[in-house]
Amino acid sequence: MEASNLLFVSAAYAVAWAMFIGYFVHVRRATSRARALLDSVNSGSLR
Amino acid sequence: MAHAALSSTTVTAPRTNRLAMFGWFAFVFLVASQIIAIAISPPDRDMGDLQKILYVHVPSAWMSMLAPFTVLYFSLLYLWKKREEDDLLAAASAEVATAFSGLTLVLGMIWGKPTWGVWWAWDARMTSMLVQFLILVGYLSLRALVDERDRRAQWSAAVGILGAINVPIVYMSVRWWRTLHQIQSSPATVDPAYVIGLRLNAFAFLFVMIYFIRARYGAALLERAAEHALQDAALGTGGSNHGS
Amino acid sequence: MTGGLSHDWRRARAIAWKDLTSERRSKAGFNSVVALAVTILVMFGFALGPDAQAIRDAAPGAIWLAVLFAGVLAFNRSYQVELDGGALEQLILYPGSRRAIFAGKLLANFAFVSLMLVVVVAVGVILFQVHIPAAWPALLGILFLGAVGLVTLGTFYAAMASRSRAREVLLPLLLFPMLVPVLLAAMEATKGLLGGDAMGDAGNWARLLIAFDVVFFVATFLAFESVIEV
Repeated sequence: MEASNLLFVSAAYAVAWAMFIGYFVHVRRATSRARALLDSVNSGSLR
Repeated sequence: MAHAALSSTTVTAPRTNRLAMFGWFAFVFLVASQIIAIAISPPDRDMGDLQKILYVHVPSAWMSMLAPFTVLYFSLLYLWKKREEDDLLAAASAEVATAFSGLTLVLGMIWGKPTWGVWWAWDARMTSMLVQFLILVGYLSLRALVDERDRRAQWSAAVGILGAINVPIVYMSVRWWRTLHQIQSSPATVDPAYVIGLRLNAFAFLFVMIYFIRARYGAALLERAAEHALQDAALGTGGSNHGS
Repeated sequence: MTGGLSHDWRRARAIAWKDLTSERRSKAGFNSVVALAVTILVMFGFALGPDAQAIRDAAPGAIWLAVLFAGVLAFNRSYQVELDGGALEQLILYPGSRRAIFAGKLLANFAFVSLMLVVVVAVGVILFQVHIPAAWPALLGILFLGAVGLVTLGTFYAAMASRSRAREVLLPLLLFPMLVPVLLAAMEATKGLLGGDAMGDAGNWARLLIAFDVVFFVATFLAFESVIEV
Protein backbone atom coordinates (compact mmCIF):
# COMPACT_ATOMS: atom_id res chain seq x y z
CA MET A 1 0.00 0.00 0.00
CA GLU A 2 1.23 3.45 -0.86
CA ALA A 3 2.70 5.11 2.20
CA SER A 4 0.45 8.16 2.18
CA ASN A 5 -2.65 6.06 1.53
CA LEU A 6 -1.72 3.83 4.44
CA LEU A 7 -1.55 6.92 6.60
CA PHE A 8 -5.04 8.02 5.66
CA VAL A 9 -6.57 4.57 5.97
CA SER A 10 -4.99 4.10 9.41
CA ALA A 11 -6.13 7.56 10.46
CA ALA A 12 -9.68 6.72 9.42
CA TYR A 13 -9.82 3.54 11.47
CA ALA A 14 -8.08 5.21 14.38
CA VAL A 15 -10.62 8.03 14.41
CA ALA A 16 -13.55 5.61 14.18
CA TRP A 17 -12.28 3.56 17.10
CA ALA A 18 -11.49 6.71 19.03
CA MET A 19 -15.13 7.69 18.71
CA PHE A 20 -16.38 4.27 19.76
CA ILE A 21 -14.10 4.04 22.74
CA GLY A 22 -14.58 7.68 23.62
CA TYR A 23 -18.36 7.48 23.63
CA PHE A 24 -18.27 4.26 25.58
CA VAL A 25 -16.13 5.90 28.24
CA HIS A 26 -18.50 8.87 28.26
CA VAL A 27 -21.50 6.67 28.97
CA ARG A 28 -19.64 4.69 31.64
CA ARG A 29 -18.65 7.88 33.42
CA ALA A 30 -22.19 9.25 33.31
CA THR A 31 -23.49 5.97 34.66
CA SER A 32 -21.04 5.67 37.54
CA ARG A 33 -21.48 9.33 38.45
CA ALA A 34 -25.23 8.92 38.69
CA ARG A 35 -24.87 5.64 40.52
CA ALA A 36 -22.50 7.19 43.06
CA LEU A 37 -24.86 10.09 43.59
CA LEU A 38 -27.81 7.78 44.06
CA ASP A 39 -25.96 5.59 46.54
CA SER A 40 -24.67 8.49 48.56
CA VAL A 41 -28.12 10.05 48.84
CA ASN A 42 -29.62 6.77 49.95
CA SER A 43 -26.92 6.12 52.49
CA GLY A 44 -27.71 9.49 53.98
CA SER A 45 -24.33 11.09 53.50
CA LEU A 46 -25.93 14.13 51.86
CA ARG A 47 -28.40 14.98 54.60
CA MET B 1 -44.54 13.27 44.59
CA ALA B 2 -42.90 10.64 46.73
CA HIS B 3 -40.64 8.04 45.21
CA ALA B 4 -39.60 4.81 46.76
CA ALA B 5 -35.95 4.93 47.61
CA LEU B 6 -34.08 3.64 44.60
CA SER B 7 -30.69 2.15 44.98
CA SER B 8 -28.53 1.99 41.92
CA THR B 9 -28.67 -1.76 41.94
CA THR B 10 -32.44 -2.08 41.92
CA VAL B 11 -32.82 0.38 39.07
CA THR B 12 -30.58 -1.38 36.65
CA ALA B 13 -29.57 -4.85 37.84
CA PRO B 14 -31.78 -7.01 35.63
CA ARG B 15 -31.19 -4.83 32.58
CA THR B 16 -27.48 -4.32 33.00
CA ASN B 17 -26.50 -7.90 32.33
CA ARG B 18 -28.52 -8.14 29.14
CA LEU B 19 -27.19 -4.83 27.96
CA ALA B 20 -23.60 -5.75 28.76
CA MET B 21 -23.96 -8.98 26.83
CA PHE B 22 -25.35 -7.12 23.87
CA GLY B 23 -22.48 -4.67 24.15
CA TRP B 24 -19.95 -7.47 24.01
CA PHE B 25 -21.72 -9.00 21.05
CA ALA B 26 -21.72 -5.69 19.19
CA PHE B 27 -18.04 -5.19 19.92
CA VAL B 28 -17.02 -8.63 18.71
CA PHE B 29 -19.23 -8.36 15.65
CA LEU B 30 -17.67 -5.01 14.81
CA VAL B 31 -14.11 -6.24 15.11
CA ALA B 32 -14.91 -9.30 13.04
CA SER B 33 -16.68 -7.26 10.36
CA GLN B 34 -13.82 -4.85 10.04
CA ILE B 35 -11.19 -7.57 9.80
CA ILE B 36 -13.20 -9.54 7.26
CA ALA B 37 -13.93 -6.47 5.15
CA ILE B 38 -10.29 -5.42 5.07
CA ALA B 39 -9.08 -8.91 4.37
CA ILE B 40 -11.36 -9.87 1.52
CA SER B 41 -11.50 -6.62 -0.42
CA PRO B 42 -9.17 -6.08 -3.34
CA PRO B 43 -7.77 -2.59 -3.99
CA ASP B 44 -10.10 -0.49 -6.06
CA ARG B 45 -9.28 0.34 -9.64
CA ASP B 46 -9.39 4.08 -9.07
CA MET B 47 -9.12 4.59 -5.36
CA GLY B 48 -6.56 1.95 -4.55
CA ASP B 49 -6.43 1.10 -0.90
CA LEU B 50 -8.24 4.27 0.05
CA GLN B 51 -11.36 2.24 -0.66
CA LYS B 52 -10.93 0.63 2.75
CA ILE B 53 -11.86 3.91 4.40
CA LEU B 54 -15.34 3.38 3.05
CA TYR B 55 -15.88 0.49 5.43
CA VAL B 56 -16.01 2.99 8.29
CA HIS B 57 -17.17 6.12 6.48
CA VAL B 58 -20.20 4.67 4.69
CA PRO B 59 -21.68 2.70 7.61
CA SER B 60 -21.11 5.74 9.81
CA ALA B 61 -22.95 7.88 7.27
CA TRP B 62 -25.82 5.40 7.12
CA MET B 63 -26.16 5.44 10.91
CA SER B 64 -26.03 9.23 10.87
CA MET B 65 -28.91 9.25 8.43
CA LEU B 66 -30.88 6.75 10.50
CA ALA B 67 -30.40 8.33 13.90
CA PRO B 68 -32.38 11.57 13.41
CA PHE B 69 -35.45 9.50 12.67
CA THR B 70 -34.99 7.80 16.01
CA VAL B 71 -35.02 11.24 17.60
CA LEU B 72 -38.13 12.06 15.57
CA TYR B 73 -39.89 8.90 16.69
CA PHE B 74 -39.26 9.35 20.41
CA SER B 75 -40.01 13.08 20.24
CA LEU B 76 -43.38 12.40 18.65
CA LEU B 77 -44.01 9.67 21.19
CA TYR B 78 -43.21 12.04 24.01
CA LEU B 79 -45.58 14.73 22.80
CA TRP B 80 -48.25 12.11 22.49
CA LYS B 81 -47.82 10.12 25.69
CA LYS B 82 -45.85 12.58 27.82
CA ARG B 83 -43.72 9.84 29.34
CA GLU B 84 -40.35 10.99 30.59
CA GLU B 85 -38.76 7.77 29.29
CA ASP B 86 -39.46 8.83 25.72
CA ASP B 87 -37.82 12.19 26.29
CA LEU B 88 -34.73 10.48 27.70
CA LEU B 89 -34.63 8.10 24.74
CA ALA B 90 -34.91 11.00 22.33
CA ALA B 91 -32.06 12.77 24.08
CA ALA B 92 -29.90 9.65 24.09
CA SER B 93 -30.59 9.13 20.39
CA ALA B 94 -29.67 12.73 19.67
CA GLU B 95 -26.38 12.46 21.53
CA VAL B 96 -25.46 9.26 19.69
CA ALA B 97 -26.58 10.81 16.42
CA THR B 98 -24.28 13.74 17.03
CA ALA B 99 -21.35 11.40 17.66
CA PHE B 100 -21.99 9.46 14.46
CA SER B 101 -22.56 12.62 12.42
CA GLY B 102 -19.32 14.09 13.65
CA LEU B 103 -17.51 10.86 12.90
CA THR B 104 -18.96 10.78 9.39
CA LEU B 105 -17.72 14.30 8.78
CA VAL B 106 -14.19 13.60 9.96
CA LEU B 107 -13.98 10.34 8.02
CA GLY B 108 -15.30 12.13 4.95
CA MET B 109 -12.50 14.65 5.25
CA ILE B 110 -9.92 11.92 5.73
CA TRP B 111 -11.22 10.27 2.57
CA GLY B 112 -11.49 13.56 0.72
CA LYS B 113 -7.99 14.88 1.24
CA PRO B 114 -6.11 12.19 -0.69
CA THR B 115 -8.94 11.78 -3.17
CA TRP B 116 -9.78 15.37 -4.07
CA GLY B 117 -6.69 17.09 -2.68
CA VAL B 118 -8.73 19.22 -0.29
CA TRP B 119 -10.05 18.62 3.19
CA TRP B 120 -13.45 20.10 2.30
CA ALA B 121 -15.18 20.64 -1.01
CA TRP B 122 -18.77 21.56 -0.15
CA ASP B 123 -19.88 18.26 -1.58
CA ALA B 124 -23.66 17.83 -1.29
CA ARG B 125 -23.70 14.89 1.09
CA MET B 126 -20.97 16.18 3.37
CA THR B 127 -22.47 19.65 3.48
CA SER B 128 -25.90 18.42 4.44
CA MET B 129 -24.28 16.16 7.04
CA LEU B 130 -22.58 19.25 8.43
CA VAL B 131 -25.91 21.05 8.69
CA GLN B 132 -27.44 17.99 10.34
CA PHE B 133 -24.57 17.99 12.82
CA LEU B 134 -25.28 21.62 13.64
CA ILE B 135 -29.00 20.94 14.04
CA LEU B 136 -28.16 18.20 16.53
CA VAL B 137 -25.71 20.43 18.38
CA GLY B 138 -28.51 22.98 18.64
CA TYR B 139 -30.77 20.31 20.14
CA LEU B 140 -28.16 19.36 22.72
CA SER B 141 -27.48 23.01 23.54
CA LEU B 142 -31.17 23.60 24.14
CA ARG B 143 -31.25 20.72 26.60
CA ALA B 144 -28.15 22.03 28.33
CA LEU B 145 -29.59 25.52 28.69
CA VAL B 146 -33.05 24.64 29.98
CA ASP B 147 -33.30 23.37 33.52
CA GLU B 148 -36.98 22.72 34.13
CA ARG B 149 -37.64 19.10 33.30
CA ASP B 150 -41.06 19.37 31.64
CA ARG B 151 -40.14 22.44 29.67
CA ARG B 152 -36.89 20.87 28.54
CA ALA B 153 -38.68 17.70 27.42
CA GLN B 154 -41.44 19.50 25.56
CA TRP B 155 -39.15 22.00 23.86
CA SER B 156 -36.68 19.27 22.93
CA ALA B 157 -39.47 17.29 21.35
CA ALA B 158 -40.61 20.26 19.25
CA VAL B 159 -37.05 21.11 18.22
CA GLY B 160 -36.25 17.46 17.54
CA ILE B 161 -39.28 17.00 15.32
CA LEU B 162 -38.64 20.12 13.30
CA GLY B 163 -34.96 19.36 13.04
CA ALA B 164 -35.59 15.84 11.82
CA ILE B 165 -38.11 17.06 9.26
CA ASN B 166 -35.54 19.55 8.01
CA VAL B 167 -32.80 16.96 7.45
CA PRO B 168 -34.15 15.61 4.15
CA ILE B 169 -35.14 19.13 3.11
CA VAL B 170 -31.61 20.36 3.70
CA TYR B 171 -30.18 17.42 1.77
CA MET B 172 -32.42 18.15 -1.19
CA SER B 173 -31.71 21.85 -1.32
CA VAL B 174 -27.96 21.45 -0.86
CA ARG B 175 -27.87 18.84 -3.60
CA TRP B 176 -29.59 21.20 -6.04
CA TRP B 177 -27.29 23.95 -4.93
CA ARG B 178 -24.25 21.81 -5.65
CA THR B 179 -25.33 20.40 -8.98
CA LEU B 180 -25.75 23.93 -10.21
CA HIS B 181 -22.17 24.67 -9.28
CA GLN B 182 -20.78 21.34 -10.49
CA ILE B 183 -18.60 19.60 -8.01
CA GLN B 184 -17.05 16.19 -7.46
CA SER B 185 -19.37 13.49 -6.25
CA SER B 186 -19.11 11.31 -3.20
CA PRO B 187 -17.73 7.79 -3.40
CA ALA B 188 -19.85 5.36 -5.37
CA THR B 189 -20.34 2.11 -3.59
CA VAL B 190 -21.99 -0.18 -6.09
CA ASP B 191 -19.07 -2.45 -6.94
CA PRO B 192 -20.27 -5.93 -5.88
CA ALA B 193 -16.85 -6.91 -4.56
CA TYR B 194 -17.35 -4.49 -1.73
CA VAL B 195 -20.98 -5.12 -0.90
CA ILE B 196 -20.34 -7.90 1.62
CA GLY B 197 -17.87 -5.83 3.58
CA LEU B 198 -20.19 -2.86 3.58
CA ARG B 199 -23.23 -4.85 4.65
CA LEU B 200 -21.35 -6.55 7.45
CA ASN B 201 -20.03 -3.27 8.77
CA ALA B 202 -23.41 -1.62 8.33
CA PHE B 203 -24.95 -4.17 10.68
CA ALA B 204 -21.99 -3.89 13.02
CA PHE B 205 -22.38 -0.14 13.25
CA LEU B 206 -26.11 -0.55 13.74
CA PHE B 207 -25.58 -2.87 16.70
CA VAL B 208 -23.07 -0.47 18.18
CA MET B 209 -25.47 2.44 17.74
CA ILE B 210 -28.32 0.55 19.39
CA TYR B 211 -26.04 -0.36 22.26
CA PHE B 212 -24.89 3.24 22.68
CA ILE B 213 -28.42 4.59 22.71
CA ARG B 214 -29.59 2.00 25.18
CA ALA B 215 -26.55 2.51 27.41
CA ARG B 216 -26.90 6.29 27.33
CA TYR B 217 -30.57 5.90 28.16
CA GLY B 218 -29.65 3.70 31.08
CA ALA B 219 -27.32 6.37 32.39
CA ALA B 220 -30.07 8.97 31.96
CA LEU B 221 -32.48 6.81 33.97
CA LEU B 222 -29.94 6.61 36.76
CA GLU B 223 -29.42 10.36 36.62
CA ARG B 224 -33.14 10.86 36.91
CA ALA B 225 -33.38 8.46 39.84
CA ALA B 226 -30.55 10.32 41.54
CA GLU B 227 -32.32 13.63 40.91
CA HIS B 228 -35.54 12.33 42.44
CA ALA B 229 -33.67 10.97 45.41
CA LEU B 230 -31.90 14.27 45.93
CA GLN B 231 -35.19 16.11 45.74
CA ASP B 232 -36.80 13.78 48.23
CA ALA B 233 -33.87 14.11 50.59
CA ALA B 234 -33.94 17.89 50.35
CA LEU B 235 -37.69 18.09 50.88
CA GLY B 236 -37.56 15.64 53.71
CA THR B 237 -39.94 13.27 51.95
CA GLY B 238 -37.29 10.56 52.00
CA GLY B 239 -37.92 6.88 51.51
CA SER B 240 -38.25 3.98 53.83
CA ASN B 241 -34.61 3.67 54.81
CA HIS B 242 -34.29 6.66 56.99
CA GLY B 243 -37.65 8.31 57.32
CA SER B 244 -37.49 12.00 57.94
CA MET C 1 -66.41 27.30 14.23
CA THR C 2 -66.16 30.54 12.32
CA GLY C 3 -66.86 32.63 15.38
CA GLY C 4 -63.80 31.24 17.09
CA LEU C 5 -61.60 31.77 14.07
CA SER C 6 -62.46 35.42 13.60
CA HIS C 7 -62.03 35.86 17.33
CA ASP C 8 -58.54 34.39 17.07
CA TRP C 9 -57.77 36.63 14.13
CA ARG C 10 -58.83 39.71 16.03
CA ARG C 11 -56.72 38.65 18.97
CA ALA C 12 -53.76 38.03 16.70
CA ARG C 13 -54.08 41.49 15.23
CA ALA C 14 -54.36 42.93 18.70
CA ILE C 15 -51.19 41.18 19.79
CA ALA C 16 -49.38 42.29 16.66
CA TRP C 17 -50.53 45.86 17.13
CA LYS C 18 -49.47 45.88 20.75
CA ASP C 19 -46.05 44.53 19.86
CA LEU C 20 -45.57 47.06 17.12
CA THR C 21 -46.74 50.06 19.07
CA SER C 22 -44.66 49.21 22.07
CA GLU C 23 -41.76 48.87 19.67
CA ARG C 24 -42.67 52.10 17.98
CA ARG C 25 -42.98 53.99 21.20
CA SER C 26 -39.47 52.85 21.80
CA LYS C 27 -38.51 53.96 18.33
CA ALA C 28 -34.98 53.51 19.50
CA GLY C 29 -35.68 49.81 19.40
CA PHE C 30 -36.33 49.67 15.68
CA ASN C 31 -33.76 52.29 14.80
CA SER C 32 -30.98 50.60 16.70
CA VAL C 33 -31.62 47.20 15.15
CA VAL C 34 -31.68 48.72 11.67
CA ALA C 35 -28.50 50.63 12.45
CA LEU C 36 -26.92 47.35 13.48
CA ALA C 37 -27.96 45.70 10.23
CA VAL C 38 -26.45 48.53 8.21
CA THR C 39 -23.28 48.38 10.27
CA ILE C 40 -22.97 44.67 9.61
CA LEU C 41 -23.46 45.36 5.92
CA VAL C 42 -20.65 47.87 5.97
CA MET C 43 -18.40 45.40 7.77
CA PHE C 44 -19.09 42.90 5.01
CA GLY C 45 -18.03 45.55 2.57
CA PHE C 46 -14.71 45.94 4.33
CA ALA C 47 -14.21 42.22 4.70
CA LEU C 48 -15.01 41.32 1.11
CA GLY C 49 -14.09 44.45 -0.85
CA PRO C 50 -13.00 46.74 -2.35
CA ASP C 51 -12.98 44.95 -5.69
CA ALA C 52 -16.24 46.00 -7.33
CA GLN C 53 -17.06 42.65 -8.88
CA ALA C 54 -16.32 40.75 -5.71
CA ILE C 55 -18.67 42.80 -3.59
CA ARG C 56 -21.32 42.90 -6.31
CA ASP C 57 -21.30 39.10 -6.29
CA ALA C 58 -21.41 39.05 -2.52
CA ALA C 59 -24.25 41.56 -2.26
CA PRO C 60 -27.22 39.18 -1.93
CA GLY C 61 -25.44 37.13 0.73
CA ALA C 62 -24.23 40.15 2.65
CA ILE C 63 -27.65 41.79 2.66
CA TRP C 64 -29.35 38.62 3.76
CA LEU C 65 -26.86 37.86 6.53
CA ALA C 66 -27.00 41.42 7.82
CA VAL C 67 -30.78 41.14 8.11
CA LEU C 68 -30.39 37.71 9.68
CA PHE C 69 -27.94 38.73 12.39
CA ALA C 70 -29.87 41.86 13.28
CA GLY C 71 -33.18 40.04 13.04
CA VAL C 72 -32.09 37.56 15.69
CA LEU C 73 -32.10 40.37 18.21
CA ALA C 74 -35.52 41.52 17.08
CA PHE C 75 -36.98 38.02 17.39
CA ASN C 76 -35.80 37.53 20.94
CA ARG C 77 -37.05 40.95 21.90
CA SER C 78 -40.49 40.30 20.46
CA TYR C 79 -41.13 38.13 23.48
CA GLN C 80 -39.51 40.53 25.88
CA VAL C 81 -42.65 42.58 26.49
CA GLU C 82 -44.58 39.62 27.83
CA LEU C 83 -41.60 38.21 29.66
CA ASP C 84 -41.03 41.42 31.57
CA GLY C 85 -44.65 41.80 32.55
CA GLY C 86 -45.24 38.12 33.19
CA ALA C 87 -48.11 38.45 30.77
CA LEU C 88 -47.38 35.26 28.87
CA GLU C 89 -48.91 33.01 31.50
CA GLN C 90 -52.06 35.12 31.45
CA LEU C 91 -52.29 35.24 27.68
CA ILE C 92 -52.23 31.50 27.20
CA LEU C 93 -55.14 30.96 29.54
CA TYR C 94 -57.65 31.98 26.89
CA PRO C 95 -58.77 29.13 24.62
CA GLY C 96 -57.42 29.27 21.10
CA SER C 97 -55.13 32.07 22.15
CA ARG C 98 -51.91 30.19 21.57
CA ARG C 99 -52.33 30.21 17.81
CA ALA C 100 -53.30 33.85 18.08
CA ILE C 101 -50.12 34.60 20.00
CA PHE C 102 -48.03 32.97 17.30
CA ALA C 103 -49.92 34.69 14.51
CA GLY C 104 -49.68 38.03 16.27
CA LYS C 105 -45.95 37.68 16.84
CA LEU C 106 -45.49 36.59 13.23
CA LEU C 107 -47.30 39.65 11.95
CA ALA C 108 -45.36 42.02 14.16
CA ASN C 109 -42.01 40.44 13.34
CA PHE C 110 -42.81 40.36 9.65
CA ALA C 111 -43.62 44.05 9.64
CA PHE C 112 -40.40 44.72 11.53
CA VAL C 113 -38.20 42.62 9.24
CA SER C 114 -39.83 43.99 6.10
CA LEU C 115 -39.12 47.56 7.10
CA MET C 116 -35.58 46.56 8.02
CA LEU C 117 -35.17 44.85 4.64
CA VAL C 118 -36.22 47.97 2.79
CA VAL C 119 -33.49 49.98 4.46
CA VAL C 120 -30.81 47.30 4.23
CA VAL C 121 -31.52 46.51 0.58
CA ALA C 122 -31.42 50.20 -0.31
CA VAL C 123 -28.09 50.66 1.44
CA GLY C 124 -26.77 47.40 0.04
CA VAL C 125 -27.65 48.26 -3.54
CA ILE C 126 -25.68 51.48 -3.20
CA LEU C 127 -22.72 50.19 -1.22
CA PHE C 128 -22.26 47.04 -3.26
CA GLN C 129 -22.95 48.66 -6.62
CA VAL C 130 -25.71 46.28 -7.50
CA HIS C 131 -27.15 46.62 -10.99
CA ILE C 132 -30.90 46.62 -10.62
CA PRO C 133 -32.31 44.26 -13.21
CA ALA C 134 -35.44 44.69 -15.30
CA ALA C 135 -37.02 41.89 -13.30
CA TRP C 136 -36.85 43.86 -10.04
CA PRO C 137 -40.50 43.17 -9.11
CA ALA C 138 -39.64 39.49 -9.11
CA LEU C 139 -36.73 40.33 -6.84
CA LEU C 140 -39.13 41.97 -4.44
CA GLY C 141 -41.14 38.77 -4.50
CA ILE C 142 -38.09 36.75 -3.55
CA LEU C 143 -37.32 39.15 -0.72
CA PHE C 144 -40.87 38.77 0.53
CA LEU C 145 -40.73 34.98 0.40
CA GLY C 146 -37.36 34.89 2.10
CA ALA C 147 -38.59 37.20 4.82
CA VAL C 148 -41.59 34.94 5.42
CA GLY C 149 -39.33 31.95 5.95
CA LEU C 150 -36.97 33.89 8.19
CA VAL C 151 -39.74 35.37 10.32
CA THR C 152 -41.63 32.09 10.65
CA LEU C 153 -38.68 30.12 11.93
CA GLY C 154 -37.23 33.03 13.88
CA THR C 155 -40.45 33.72 15.75
CA PHE C 156 -40.85 30.04 16.55
CA TYR C 157 -37.39 29.43 17.96
CA ALA C 158 -37.34 32.74 19.79
CA ALA C 159 -40.36 31.56 21.79
CA MET C 160 -37.96 29.12 23.44
CA ALA C 161 -34.64 30.91 23.26
CA SER C 162 -35.99 34.10 24.80
CA ARG C 163 -37.01 32.12 27.88
CA SER C 164 -33.81 30.17 28.33
CA ARG C 165 -30.34 30.91 29.56
CA ALA C 166 -27.90 32.37 27.03
CA ARG C 167 -30.67 33.46 24.69
CA GLU C 168 -28.37 35.43 22.38
CA VAL C 169 -26.40 32.28 21.70
CA LEU C 170 -29.22 29.78 21.65
CA LEU C 171 -31.41 31.49 19.08
CA PRO C 172 -28.78 31.64 16.32
CA LEU C 173 -27.59 28.15 17.22
CA LEU C 174 -31.08 26.74 16.77
CA LEU C 175 -32.25 29.00 13.96
CA PHE C 176 -29.39 29.23 11.50
CA PRO C 177 -29.08 25.56 10.52
CA MET C 178 -32.85 25.41 10.09
CA LEU C 179 -32.68 28.39 7.73
CA VAL C 180 -30.28 26.73 5.29
CA PRO C 181 -32.92 25.64 2.76
CA VAL C 182 -34.65 29.03 2.81
CA LEU C 183 -31.31 30.82 2.60
CA LEU C 184 -30.08 28.71 -0.32
CA ALA C 185 -33.31 29.10 -2.26
CA ALA C 186 -33.50 32.85 -1.67
CA MET C 187 -29.84 33.34 -2.60
CA GLU C 188 -29.97 31.28 -5.76
CA ALA C 189 -33.19 32.92 -6.92
CA THR C 190 -31.74 36.36 -6.21
CA LYS C 191 -28.47 35.61 -7.97
CA GLY C 192 -30.39 34.23 -10.92
CA LEU C 193 -32.50 37.35 -11.25
CA LEU C 194 -29.54 39.69 -10.77
CA GLY C 195 -27.57 37.83 -13.39
CA GLY C 196 -30.27 37.89 -16.03
CA ASP C 197 -31.31 34.32 -15.25
CA ALA C 198 -30.22 32.69 -18.48
CA MET C 199 -31.18 29.22 -17.30
CA GLY C 200 -34.56 29.98 -15.79
CA ASP C 201 -33.33 28.62 -12.49
CA ALA C 202 -34.66 31.53 -10.51
CA GLY C 203 -38.21 30.34 -11.10
CA ASN C 204 -37.40 26.87 -9.84
CA TRP C 205 -35.75 28.20 -6.71
CA ALA C 206 -38.67 30.56 -6.14
CA ARG C 207 -41.07 27.65 -6.28
CA LEU C 208 -38.84 25.74 -3.85
CA LEU C 209 -38.81 28.75 -1.57
CA ILE C 210 -42.59 28.85 -1.55
CA ALA C 211 -42.68 25.14 -0.71
CA PHE C 212 -40.21 25.64 2.15
CA ASP C 213 -42.23 28.54 3.51
CA VAL C 214 -45.39 26.46 3.49
CA VAL C 215 -43.76 23.46 5.16
CA PHE C 216 -42.11 25.51 7.90
CA PHE C 217 -45.18 27.64 8.46
CA VAL C 218 -47.42 24.61 8.98
CA ALA C 219 -44.85 22.78 11.10
CA THR C 220 -44.16 25.72 13.41
CA PHE C 221 -47.84 26.56 13.71
CA LEU C 222 -48.55 23.01 14.85
CA ALA C 223 -45.57 22.86 17.17
CA PHE C 224 -46.05 26.27 18.77
CA GLU C 225 -48.72 24.97 21.10
CA SER C 226 -46.23 22.58 22.70
CA VAL C 227 -43.68 25.33 23.08
CA ILE C 228 -45.78 28.07 24.59
CA GLU C 229 -47.86 26.06 27.03
CA VAL C 230 -44.96 24.90 29.18
